[in-house]
Amino acid sequence: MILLTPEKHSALKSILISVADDEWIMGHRGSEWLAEAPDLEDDLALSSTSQDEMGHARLLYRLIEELGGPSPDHQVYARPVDDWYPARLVTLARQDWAEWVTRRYFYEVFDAIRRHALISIPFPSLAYALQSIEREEAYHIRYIEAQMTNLAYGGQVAHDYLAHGIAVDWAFIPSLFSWGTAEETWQILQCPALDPRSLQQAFEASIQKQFATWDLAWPGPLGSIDGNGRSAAKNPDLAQIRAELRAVRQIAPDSHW
Amino acid sequence: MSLVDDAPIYEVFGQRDALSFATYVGSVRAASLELALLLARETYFRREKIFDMWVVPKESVTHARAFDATLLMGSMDKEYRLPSGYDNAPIWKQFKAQAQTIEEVALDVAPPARSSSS
Repeated sequence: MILLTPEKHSALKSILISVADDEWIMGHRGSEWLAEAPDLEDDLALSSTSQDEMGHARLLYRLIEELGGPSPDHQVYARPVDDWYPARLVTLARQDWAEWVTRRYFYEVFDAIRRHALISIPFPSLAYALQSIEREEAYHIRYIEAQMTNLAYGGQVAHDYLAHGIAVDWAFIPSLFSWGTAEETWQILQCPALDPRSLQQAFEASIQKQFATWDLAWPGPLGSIDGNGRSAAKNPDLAQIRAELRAVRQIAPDSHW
Repeated sequence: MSLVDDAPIYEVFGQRDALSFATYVGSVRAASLELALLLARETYFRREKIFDMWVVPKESVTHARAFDATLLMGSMDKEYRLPSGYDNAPIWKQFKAQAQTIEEVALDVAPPARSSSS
């Protein structure tokens, strides 16, 4: 087993918190569509895959605990709002169905690229967690690509909604690529694939190909990656969603569940 | 606001393992065959292992009821075709209860007699 230096330990923790927060918030935003998806079948698929994402988040919060961090329960119920690092894109308040489909599509493509980058970190528990996450994510990406195809070829109205969803999300995509804490954490891990610029390049290459098959106009260059993409202070939707996630727990914070 | 047409219905079948038959489980509405499969998985098999799934467009199923009502009618009394039509049990019981002579047992276990011509 390869042991990480203390410096790499804390770098890994700060990278994993961004990944876990993304999964946790995507899971919650997805479950907000419960009973509001266009049909019962999508409702079921969405609630099931949203639970998958929450399960992945729990797995990653546990890894952070293994690395000496606080417990998963503390992470989701007691962590102060300033210590949250979900990307701006995943935190966006619920809009329309097409916006949700595009957001989910952009997130899943990015998440796959990020997982493949994380695999190169020599930490066995992480490799094991990623392996089990991968099995479920394979379905997620197929499902959401099929939904994109559906909207792209579903007639003019669907196409217009899709174009609008893409336009809304496009400005927030660069928030995915930045890392929550100091930008140089990925350098400490000596893992060049985690470089925000490499992530962005891989992401653009991947969706450019898909956009061509869906006959969608390329919305122009992505904005530059700034360090605030995961900043809680710059995220107007974070406080609301965190409060909502804690609402029931806060009724009796000291009780055991 | 204009109404959107409902997506077509697909009938869903699940096969638990390679040796079992595909069993009808229900239906889904979906915009395409691929989506029908993707949605069927989460609708009917999200908690269990499945070997294979089929989805069949509803219009591809021909109903005997709509096609020709006479197909579904039982014609005559078919009891004579069923083994239970002959009540042999008491006779068989009676036969088993008989005390066999040693000659009868020998006859039972003896190899079949060859025909004398060969």
